[in-house]
Amino acid sequence: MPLLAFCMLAAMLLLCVCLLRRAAPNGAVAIRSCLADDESLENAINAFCEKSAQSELREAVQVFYGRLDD
Amino acid sequence: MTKPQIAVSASVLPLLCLLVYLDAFGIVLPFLLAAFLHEAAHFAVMQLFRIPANEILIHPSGVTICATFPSSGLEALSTAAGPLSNLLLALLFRESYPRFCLANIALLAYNSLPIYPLDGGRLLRLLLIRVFGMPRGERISQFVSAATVLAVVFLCLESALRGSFGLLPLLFAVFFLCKLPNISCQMPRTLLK
Repeated sequence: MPLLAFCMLAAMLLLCVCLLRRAAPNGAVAIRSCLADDESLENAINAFCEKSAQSELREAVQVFYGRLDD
Repeated sequence: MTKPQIAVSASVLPLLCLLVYLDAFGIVLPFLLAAFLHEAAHFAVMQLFRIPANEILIHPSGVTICATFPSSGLEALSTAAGPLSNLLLALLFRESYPRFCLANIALLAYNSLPIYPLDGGRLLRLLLIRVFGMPRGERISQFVSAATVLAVVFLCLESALRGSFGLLPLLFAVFFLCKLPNISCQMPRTLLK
């Protein structure tokens, strides 16, 4: 029962967070810009997805970490 | 079989909310799914061999399944099931769902580190106990875990000084430093019968 209550609370809070993110996306962007460069992370993830879709998994991992190092 | 006690750390919820809030590239949901399947694989092997879980702890750095294993072989099998499931899922979904594949590779890399509460550290500890015996093997395992934590922290700090990732490596360094007290404190919990 406590676990069910926790799951319900988590679902409600996550819904609120998603709505907040949609209503005021600038806050999340501002915090992220302190943590890391959005563009380099996005490039790294996209590069991984592109290579992975071509089923070159090992190369995809190398490209991902290479992009992160840039 | 008795039901295991499930305990959720209070810090899990705010961390989850923060991750969802900051997730710009749709990576958090696949990561949570991969983490769930990783734990399910551990649990499935335990169920298969009728090993009861005493307690399941959900905390910000992962999930700990506390159990008393009848043999070190079964403990190794159950421990290896998690990373192996990630490897299998990464290979299966590499083309159809690359973000899920990436999440599985990240989980596999993190859990394979030879740091004790993690799967790699557990497997190394079992191997060292088998080779060197109980007190010596455990002491070597603690030393390897601590050395790996310090090496990872050093790499994170070096990366932070290079400056390409902002504060992210510093957060990782703090995260891994928090693992240091667990290396020796959690040892008795999974001692073999």
